[in-house]
Amino acid sequence: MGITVQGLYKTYQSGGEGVPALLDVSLEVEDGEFFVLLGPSGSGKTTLLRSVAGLERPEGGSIYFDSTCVFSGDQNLHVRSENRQLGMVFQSYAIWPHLSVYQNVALPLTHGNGKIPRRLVSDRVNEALALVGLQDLGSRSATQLSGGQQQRVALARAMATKTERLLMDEPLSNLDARLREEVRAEVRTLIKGAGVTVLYVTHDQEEAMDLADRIAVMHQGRVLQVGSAEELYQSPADENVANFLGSMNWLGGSIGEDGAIHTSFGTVLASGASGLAPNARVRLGVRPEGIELGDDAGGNSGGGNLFSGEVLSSTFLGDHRAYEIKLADQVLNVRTPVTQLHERSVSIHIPEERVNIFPSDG
Amino acid sequence: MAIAASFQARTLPRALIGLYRRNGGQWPLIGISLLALSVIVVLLIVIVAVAFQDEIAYGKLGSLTLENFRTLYGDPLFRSAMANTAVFACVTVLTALAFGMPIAWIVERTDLPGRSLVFSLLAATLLVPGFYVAMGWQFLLHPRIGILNKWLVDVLPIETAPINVGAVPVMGIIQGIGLVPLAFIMMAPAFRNMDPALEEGAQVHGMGVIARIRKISLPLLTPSIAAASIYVFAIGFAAFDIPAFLGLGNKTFTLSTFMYVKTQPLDALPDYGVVGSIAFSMMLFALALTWWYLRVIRQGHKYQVISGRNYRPTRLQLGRWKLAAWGYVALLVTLSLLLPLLTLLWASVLPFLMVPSAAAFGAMTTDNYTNIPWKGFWGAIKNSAILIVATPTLASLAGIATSWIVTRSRMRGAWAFDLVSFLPHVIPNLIFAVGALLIGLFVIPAFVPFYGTVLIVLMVYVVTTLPFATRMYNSAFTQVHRELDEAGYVSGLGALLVLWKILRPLMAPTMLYAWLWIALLAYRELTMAALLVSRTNLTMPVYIWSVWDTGNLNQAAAVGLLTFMVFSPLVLAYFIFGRRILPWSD
Repeated sequence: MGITVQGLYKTYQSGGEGVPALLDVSLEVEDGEFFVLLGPSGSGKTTLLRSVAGLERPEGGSIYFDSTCVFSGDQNLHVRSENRQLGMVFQSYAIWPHLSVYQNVALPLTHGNGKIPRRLVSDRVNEALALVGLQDLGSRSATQLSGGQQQRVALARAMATKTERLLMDEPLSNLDARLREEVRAEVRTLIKGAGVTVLYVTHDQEEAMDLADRIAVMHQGRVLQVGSAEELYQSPADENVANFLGSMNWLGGSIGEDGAIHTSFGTVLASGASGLAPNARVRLGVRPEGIELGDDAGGNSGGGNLFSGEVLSSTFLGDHRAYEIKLADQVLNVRTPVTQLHERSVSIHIPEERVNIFPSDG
Repeated sequence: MAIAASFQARTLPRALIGLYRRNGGQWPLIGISLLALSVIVVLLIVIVAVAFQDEIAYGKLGSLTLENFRTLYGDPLFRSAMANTAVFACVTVLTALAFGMPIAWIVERTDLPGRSLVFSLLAATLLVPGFYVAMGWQFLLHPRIGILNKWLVDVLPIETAPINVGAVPVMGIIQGIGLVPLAFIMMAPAFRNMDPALEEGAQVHGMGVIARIRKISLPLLTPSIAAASIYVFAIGFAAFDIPAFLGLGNKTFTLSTFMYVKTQPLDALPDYGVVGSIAFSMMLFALALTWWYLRVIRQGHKYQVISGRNYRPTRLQLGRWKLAAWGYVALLVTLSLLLPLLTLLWASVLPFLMVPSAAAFGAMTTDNYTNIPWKGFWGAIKNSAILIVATPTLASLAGIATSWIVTRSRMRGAWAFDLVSFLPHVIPNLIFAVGALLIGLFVIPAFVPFYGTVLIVLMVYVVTTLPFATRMYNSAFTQVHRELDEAGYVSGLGALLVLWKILRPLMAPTMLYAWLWIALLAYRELTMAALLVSRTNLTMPVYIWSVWDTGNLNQAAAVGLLTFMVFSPLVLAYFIFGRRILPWSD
């Protein structure tokens, strides 16, 4: 039930020139895995999903469902979408407006790849509708439903065929914030319970972290990094991944002879610095919640990476407190629990293991 | 030769298999579309082939020559036909603008009460075939017997009839009046979309109404006025109905009627080489006009200052002038519908044409109706009925297939389907009829029942109405969210099932509308039938014309009105179900 993507290429024609959408993309989605493609718009994530669905035809590379090849550029093989045995939830939901809720779920079962004997259709449809809590709305016209309900119909339709692979293209992006969280929770329990392999596209990092077993971060047609939410967040492979997932303080510096990093505000020790050549310019990334603040009076309480700074602003944001702190010529964004209140001068501690080091371009 | 043949024999099936594999369930759609489009291409090729050959005979090729063109352009009658056509088409444009522009302004920019009624009136104008109006005007303005002329001679101190309906400018005016709805539809959006702030800006800076119209509004509207003018000109230069009904009687020819008489000369065998060269010339000219039209449209986009921004359209308050505005609309309706149709009715109940008077009322008779040669009448009704049902059905099928390829298939070369399907809109219908005539005579063997049957007429009707279908279906397909199809594909429905289960129900209103509109076109079509019809495949409009042509004008009026009644359910259906938009408003 896995999905394997190898060396996929795709360009779009725009105004006479080819705009690359997928550049040598390779992925391995495992059996029963909830796999999320995360990236900003234009990163190629939707193109990748649609290529897997068979709705786009890439120029090169290959796609396998388990050991079955469904697309191969070399062999000029392209299994048409209707023969790939998939379920899919679209961004617009794509609820057929001329059919009732019941008929929407039933159509793939009567005419599509989930074809089952007619007498079984109604049980299957009702089962799927009950799963998403719409068992009483079967006779409704699909267009009379709210956004959240339409979304559930789309989910029921995709799952009713008991497909082994489910594709979801930004399924929650058209819902308002409160509903999005509610439906997200349902998606999680429903789909994870069904044990299907899911390929899910979103640009919302929180959604990705909540749902995914593994995430692939995409940018400008490439996969930058694949890993669990925690791996991506704590040790991003490059600055694009770091910036896309959460926020980051960026500090410039260079590696000294001793392996420590020299910056405008002092020497910083970092656990990842040992392998780097001396005098190399680097950029340091530190998450706002990775920085610890203390009262200035505390002074040197042992350990390195201790600096003093000045509080520029402090904002109460309900579940945390946000600070802007001046450190030499830099301004750091820091997050602390609400219970910590600091004024004017503070001591700043940057734990060695929270410093991410990236090579600097200039 | 042998190598080439075996090469073809091997590659062709392989190419077909490749096409099938790549396109899956799409092949029936591609097949239907290719069939219709290849008819278009073949019809045009035949014209070119005939125009540049010397001796044409069935199944034989002559040698290449320009002789046909030399003969044609040396013919003084043809030169006068060209001059007549130029005058006719120009007057047509001026008339259409003279009514269309003020009415577009009145409807879009003033607070005239009952504006929506204007739309209905214009739609009604469209629904009445042009030759009905032509017959009406013949009764009104015939130099000898015309009612209006006789009346003018009575009341004015003149001896002879002041207006001759067969004069080229008069025919141009009558044609132009019939094209007002078209001009209106093409210009109305420009009037509607013009930001009033542009005019208000001029007003604030002290410009009066006249200066504002001259310096601001008109220049901004120029591209759409120019585009409408070229479009109307293109129709005018190839128009047949009105020059045929009004001009043939006194041997005043335009290009289309000249070509017609060349296909059926009274004294000799038709010279089809010359006919082909007229058709080829008209085709080139039409393509040139289209090129010019597209250029003007493209330039028009430079003036688009209206994009996206919101504004409240302010409407000029007409006040007392609203009577004058309605008066102008009423004048148009009178000239284009009321007067000619009432005259037709009047003529149909008289033994010969008379100015309304007590004596005339006394002479009223139903003889014109009761003496109709019924055998011919019902035969023509039957043929017309076949065409009215078959044309829209086949054109819709081909249109759906073509539009699906163009908008949905992502097939390489889909643009070519779009282009070819649009050709019959650009090239006058008459040309396609000539092509079919030539094919019927020289390509298809005589034992195949084609020439002289309803089939030949049907084929030409289908391809010439195809652009109407594809344009309506192109926009219908674009309005259906692509993901609705894609959800079908991913669910395992093939192309045909998606089309049937998902797109068909969603496009049902367009289907009904397109069907009705094309049925109406088939009902009113005279031009092409006139060239293709013989005794055996007479259609109703041609039957009316043949009665007219034999000089039995009053009976022709009666036949016309009777026909109108027989097919009135169709017109009624259009008004009930179809009157959503006017079809060429794109």
